[in-house]
Amino acid sequence: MRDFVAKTAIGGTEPKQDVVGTLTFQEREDVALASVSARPGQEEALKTKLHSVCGIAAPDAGQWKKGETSSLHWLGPDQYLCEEAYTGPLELARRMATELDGIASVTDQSDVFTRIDMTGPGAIDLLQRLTVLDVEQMQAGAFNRSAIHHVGCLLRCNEAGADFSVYAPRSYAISVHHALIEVAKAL
Amino acid sequence: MTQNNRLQGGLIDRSKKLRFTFDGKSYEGYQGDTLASALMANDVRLVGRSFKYHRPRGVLASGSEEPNALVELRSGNRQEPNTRATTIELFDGLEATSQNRWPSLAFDALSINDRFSPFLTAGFYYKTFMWPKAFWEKLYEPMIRKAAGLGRLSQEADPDIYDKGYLHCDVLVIGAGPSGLIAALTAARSGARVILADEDSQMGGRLLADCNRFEGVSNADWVAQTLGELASMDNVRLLTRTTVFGAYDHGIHGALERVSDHLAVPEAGKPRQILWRIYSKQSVLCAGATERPIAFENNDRPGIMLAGAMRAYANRWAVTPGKRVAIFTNNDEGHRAAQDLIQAGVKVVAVIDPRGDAPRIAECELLAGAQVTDAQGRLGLKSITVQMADGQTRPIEVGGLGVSGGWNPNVQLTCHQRGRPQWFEPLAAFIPPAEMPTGMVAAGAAAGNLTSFGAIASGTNAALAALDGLGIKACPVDLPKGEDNAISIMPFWHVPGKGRAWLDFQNDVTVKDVKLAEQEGFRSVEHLKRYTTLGMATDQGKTANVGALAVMAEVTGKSIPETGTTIFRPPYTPVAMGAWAGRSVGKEFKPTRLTPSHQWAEEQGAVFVEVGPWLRAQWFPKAGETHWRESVDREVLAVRSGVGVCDVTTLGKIDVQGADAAVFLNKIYCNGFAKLPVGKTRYGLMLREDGIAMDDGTAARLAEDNFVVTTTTANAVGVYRHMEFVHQCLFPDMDVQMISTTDAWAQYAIAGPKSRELLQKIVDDNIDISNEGFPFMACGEVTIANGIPARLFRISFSGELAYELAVPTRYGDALIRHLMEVGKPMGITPYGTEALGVLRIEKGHATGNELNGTTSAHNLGMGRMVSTKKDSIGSTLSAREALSDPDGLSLVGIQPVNNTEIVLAGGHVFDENAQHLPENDLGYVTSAAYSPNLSSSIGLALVKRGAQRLGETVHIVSPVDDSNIKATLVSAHFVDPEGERLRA
Repeated sequence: MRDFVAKTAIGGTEPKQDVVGTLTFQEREDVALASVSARPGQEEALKTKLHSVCGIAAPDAGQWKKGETSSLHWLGPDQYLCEEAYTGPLELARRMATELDGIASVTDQSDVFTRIDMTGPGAIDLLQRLTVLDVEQMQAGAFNRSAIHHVGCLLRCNEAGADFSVYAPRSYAISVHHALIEVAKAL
Repeated sequence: MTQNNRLQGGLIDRSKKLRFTFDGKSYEGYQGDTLASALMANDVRLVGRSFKYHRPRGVLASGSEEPNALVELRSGNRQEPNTRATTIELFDGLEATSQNRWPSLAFDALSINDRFSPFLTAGFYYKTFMWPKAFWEKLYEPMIRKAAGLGRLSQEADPDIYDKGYLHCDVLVIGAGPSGLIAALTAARSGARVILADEDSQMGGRLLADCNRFEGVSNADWVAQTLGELASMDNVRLLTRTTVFGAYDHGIHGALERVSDHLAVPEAGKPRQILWRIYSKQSVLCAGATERPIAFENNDRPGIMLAGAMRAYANRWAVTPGKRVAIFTNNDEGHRAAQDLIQAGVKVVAVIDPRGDAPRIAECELLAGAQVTDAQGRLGLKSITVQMADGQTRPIEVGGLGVSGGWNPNVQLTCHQRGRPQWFEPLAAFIPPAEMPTGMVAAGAAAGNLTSFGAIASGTNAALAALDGLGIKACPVDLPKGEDNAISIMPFWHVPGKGRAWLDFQNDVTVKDVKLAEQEGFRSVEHLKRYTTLGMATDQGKTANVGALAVMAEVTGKSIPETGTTIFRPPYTPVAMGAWAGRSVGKEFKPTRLTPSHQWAEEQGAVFVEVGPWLRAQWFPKAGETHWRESVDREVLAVRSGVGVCDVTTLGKIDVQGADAAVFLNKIYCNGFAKLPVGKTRYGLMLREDGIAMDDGTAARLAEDNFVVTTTTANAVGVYRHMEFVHQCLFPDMDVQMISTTDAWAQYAIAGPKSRELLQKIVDDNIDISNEGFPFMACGEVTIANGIPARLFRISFSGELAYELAVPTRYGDALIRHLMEVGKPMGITPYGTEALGVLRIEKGHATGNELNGTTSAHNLGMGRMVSTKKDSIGSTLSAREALSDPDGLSLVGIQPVNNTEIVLAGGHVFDENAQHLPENDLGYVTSAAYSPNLSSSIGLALVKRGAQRLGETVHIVSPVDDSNIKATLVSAHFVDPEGERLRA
């Protein structure tokens, strides 16, 4: 395993960082993701279990919640995306599957999405050129799906107006990153 | 060059001189000028030639409604045709060229058209150029196109960036004149999120163009004060140089912001324009009104313009078209224009008003009951002929004539959702429809309130209505006192006469043309428009339409409202194609998906092919290979004889879990899946509801309640959507959860007789992948490289002993490098999609070419796969006679009799002795390739009764390629028909 070097989605061995004007873009390869989907009839049980496993309540539609080590994002009815620090391939999904056995289906999504954090003044101006979402109104805790540069992405607000994360499908990461940078240059 | 026609005052910055050229001649203007005002300051009245007759034309208006003063702006790859001189902000170094003339603007050879005008009336081209028919395309049309037209495209790629964006607000205020400013202020003070957009570079609307309209405060101070407050509020966004060009459903508006049009070149990296989509909960339309001319003989002479425009040029830009001017008006506003002009220092020699009781407002000669009957001065107005109230005519020497036939509220956006404007007799104009687009209110001149106080009162009232709609408690706004005298107007559309009187300047439509259209039966306004071209092109008839409708009403004996208007459609003003495209141009037309091995493949010099959004390696050329076939043949032979590796990550992957996962897949696939054991993979065929084959792939059972479904690359999204539909709508009670994992796993096909030997060196030591331990169609979770989790599937698309190995995508690059390193002693060869295609054709595997939306399982030779022991999507309808006809199409192989001949996909199959007619068509070739194993071109074809015809000789005919070859129908399985290799 030591010989296998993991590549980041944007193609390097180190995560990409760019500073354009007042905005900083940071690729995050250090997060693990797992989708959690309630089995029929287990919806409330899943919420309870998630609370105990992740230390936070399951978020409502269009929201995400941050715990001490885990974050939960609403993906769809009774479906959540759990995020934690990356410790190894499939580890989060396997652990969650064990914890939620019989309650939910768990699928590793760590390499499905690439998270790119965007921080700094101008984030609103940037996102207004890229997403149909009303980003001016997005508060910390908002989490929505949106097309960005024609690509279906997830957009998370970490701090209103100044700190957002885009989750882009990994295979599109270079295209989405390129769009973010080029539009940032045009602000 | 001195600016002879420059007046005192104005809103220009005289400290900033700007140089520009028009038709190569150099001039000077000031910051704040438009090209039109700067030309006027320099006494340039002739700025263009008309569309059809090439008549000399000057500036008519002062805004975006301008029909005449169209120029080619800039040069080289930034050259832009049909740009309105009235909206071009002057910048240093501006280059403008007149258009539609040759050899020069002053002497235009094609002005001979004007002499032949009796032969070139409306609709002439519908009646002439009919014979001989063949001449139309080669002679007549090119000739007409050369003779009539507007500007030229540069034919070069636009070097600038265009952005798109999305804005949201509670209240969108469209237009920043007095009503728009007060509406925005009312809404903003109440806490609503407000966007105020105006097409001009400065906000203020008519307040910039008219003399002071409010008591105790100048126009400029009131505008500055209001804008200052708006600009200081966080809940307000001010968009200048932004035209709201369309009103769409649900409060969505299209708006074009001209970010850099006022600069010679946009700042590096900055967009030239931004196309905004504005989502508004409420909108207030304060788009103002457009003045209309009065038609009379030769009313298109350069120097004749709208009175309001003349007033705007004097007040805002401090210019006049001539030292001596006159006003021809049927309403009080024309008199006020004269008043402003006198105040600005212009000599107004007379106000001519057809109303016998015209009021005396301006301090100049009033010719009441008179009308202008003609104008002289071909290249620039010299004099007008006035018919006095007593019938006498009187020539008056003038360099400019301001004409006002009344004002048309700009109702366009209120009608974009098919609203019909209503006639408002006091103004003799159309006002917004009674039924407005949801959430839209009109105010100010756009709603027919032409007085200053009326405008601001209606602006604030409209905002209050919008706030009420939003449930926001309104804060009152103090309104300044302003003039509020009702405007008196006498409808007067054209001066009777025998000469040509122009209604539509841009399309050379005259009063006579409208009458001719009526005579010839084109009485409906929509027919009138198409027959005469009235209201078309860049200005969309803003100054012309109502006048022409009035003439049509006059000749048909109907009222104007009975005559009606044409449908208003977006855009309100032209929007460049570049703005619609945004950044989706060239290489960035669409985003690109890259495979995990992309970087490595680039290093190998791979040739890539677009497969939907994916870029896949098509083949890997080696040194010395000069033709793609050499590379592909080598790759195919290497797979059949040794081992090859191909990135198949692009195939769709769907993780299906739940207690009912197997039952669910049993519904999705037409063949059985319920009893598939854990650790096994099965090929599956999905049918559409109508029984036609939809997609194929495999499903691997990793656990009792967990499958991985693979789809074709092209249908990955479609299949996932289909499965979600089936679950959510047809079987919502099933315990099934699914999610796409296409991007989660880097997956490689490792194919060839040496593939097991290679894999044994890849997977960790304790994993048994022998034929017994991991037989054909086995699947399972393994580890590689000392513990990296992976998935292994023993499936084969090539027909060889083959596996697919998947690892978390971040390790995909490392895995391909590792495979190539470890496989080196075995002669491992990377292969691309071209070799993949050859291998599958040799094996007779169907793919998208065969699953083409018209074929059934029976056609594909998979009829028996459709299980009759269960119900599945499409199984019932696949039994329809046409889909299961034994005499219908079936998939076969084809091979040329002469192996030097080439089979082409798309060729049609005919019996050897049949005539090549549609009724004898037996089918068609779906896929073709050169097989290096058979040293022959081969193909797959769908042929009627194909399975029974094996061995027959047929002709493959392609009219497209003009080919006709003799071929034999053979089994589709050219290689290893018994399937021994893949089970080895």
